Amino acid sequence: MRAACWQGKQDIRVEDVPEPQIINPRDAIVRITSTAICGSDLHLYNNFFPGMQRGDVMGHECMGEVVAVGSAVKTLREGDRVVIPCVIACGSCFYCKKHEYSACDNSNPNQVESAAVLGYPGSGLFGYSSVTGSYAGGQAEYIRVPFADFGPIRVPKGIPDDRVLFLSDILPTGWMGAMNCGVQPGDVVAVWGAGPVGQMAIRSLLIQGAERVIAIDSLDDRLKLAEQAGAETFNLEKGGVYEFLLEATGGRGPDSCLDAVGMEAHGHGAVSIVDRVKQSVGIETDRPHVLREAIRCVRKAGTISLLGVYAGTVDTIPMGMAFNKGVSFKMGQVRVHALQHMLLDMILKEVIDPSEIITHRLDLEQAAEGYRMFNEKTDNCMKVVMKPGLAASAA
Amino acid sequence: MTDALGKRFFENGKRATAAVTIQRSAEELYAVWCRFEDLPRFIDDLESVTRTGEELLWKVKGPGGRSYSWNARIINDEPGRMLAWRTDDEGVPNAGSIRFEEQPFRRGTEVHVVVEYLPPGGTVGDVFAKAVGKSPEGMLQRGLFQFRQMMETGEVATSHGQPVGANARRTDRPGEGERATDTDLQDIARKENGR
Repeated sequence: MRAACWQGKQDIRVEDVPEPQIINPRDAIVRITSTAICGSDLHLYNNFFPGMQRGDVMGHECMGEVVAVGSAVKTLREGDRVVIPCVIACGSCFYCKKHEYSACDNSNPNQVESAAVLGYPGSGLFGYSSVTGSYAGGQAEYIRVPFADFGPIRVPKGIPDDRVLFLSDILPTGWMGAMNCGVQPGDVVAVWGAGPVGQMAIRSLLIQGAERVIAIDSLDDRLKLAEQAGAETFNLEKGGVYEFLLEATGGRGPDSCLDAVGMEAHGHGAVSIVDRVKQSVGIETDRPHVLREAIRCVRKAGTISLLGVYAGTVDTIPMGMAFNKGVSFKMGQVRVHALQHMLLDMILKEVIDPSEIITHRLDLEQAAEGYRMFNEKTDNCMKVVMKPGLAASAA
Repeated sequence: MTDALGKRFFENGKRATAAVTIQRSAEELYAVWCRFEDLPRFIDDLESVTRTGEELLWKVKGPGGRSYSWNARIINDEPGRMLAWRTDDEGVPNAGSIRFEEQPFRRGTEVHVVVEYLPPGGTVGDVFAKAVGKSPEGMLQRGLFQFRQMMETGEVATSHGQPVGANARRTDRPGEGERATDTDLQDIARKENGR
């Protein structure tokens, strides 16, 4: 089959690889019908995340049709249409029982190696390096899904892939980031990053009852889309985010600040330049510009919700200010399994339409081009969805 | 904190420890561990364990595809609580124990493993050290993680045999088919999960 493989920094190649097989009794094999490039794929693309090996199949945001199930899978059958959660969860460990699915104890076969790199044994993710289990990803014609009797969510026939695909990752991610703000009536929330995850967070915050959402980004087309969703906007190229947010909130600062940018933030000023130098020589792995700014801007006793992704260590965080303000921090990988049924219901009831953010629909064969466009944000690229065989079906 | 080994067995002996918490009762975990012959079904680093009465023949997969083996005998057996064993063989001095401690309020059962062995470089007895390579703790921890996976999910998580593209360092063989897994163990794992 064909699959988008990682071959080094900014080097994705679509190659012939063997088709996946059922290995464990709880596995399923899914034929991919749609597969997205996620912002967190760019951390791998730019080689900011440890443990990638040449030949690794990329992709963790995908859906398709079940073509085979292992002997223990009773909840799915061939022909079922499913969206596959990006995080792999067993459904029965201590964390899964507490609905903390992204902390699953059993889904990562490389836990010892993971602990050596991350400092704790992380759980399994599709297509995200040896540190999260070396699972082959979904930017391919087929994918093997472990614990398939627990993860994949069945979606009704008739609804287009584009509307349900993001149940895999960015929609629950944005929703969880919004929930972590603990929105109260009247709250003003500032969202850094109006990319795909930021867009989902903005829509989620408004549904969850935020009075005002202020989107901060440097790209006008992204801010425009945020505005269409009901957000106020601020282009950070103008400078003075802090002054703007204080003015916009009568000197209080936003009740919550949500970071949907993470470790590749483009900051301004001297500290930001130091970050870039440190990151390039490996002293500091993440550039925490947004985190610093959020600590400065958030109101006293406010909440900072981090969607990141952060992967390593950061320097020069104003902890004194965070402590004395009494800031709460909430963060973490998305608990897809806890949210996907509710969010599917909201999509079916047309409360939210995640497909609004798709700017490019490509054939899987065009993966390298898709990554390049998304990374360089050319052609107003916001979200790339790839379909195996798209070119052939259009011809 | 005491461990099931208690005293030190060897002068200059080194200790490696590992621990994991598993969402099963101490009785269940002890009962499965007592079936030593079944352990290699879910602990990859074990090649085989043969029990004859109180005698245990351990075969471990070492680095570079070599296998190492030694005879041990059970020296301590408290049902539902602990098992301990040691070698009498002068050539491979090592002693091991596993202890199960159920936690209150459904926090699962702590499983602690302690192994004492002679480090390499001595005149005798570096077989165990060679078998576990540079990181005895890593090997024990990996084994315990796989024990937890089996007991909680009915299978051992793996990405071996999955598709990889060109230049891959991994030498996985695709298309091995579904792995046979012990149905008794799956039943134990499913019992509390209602699946």
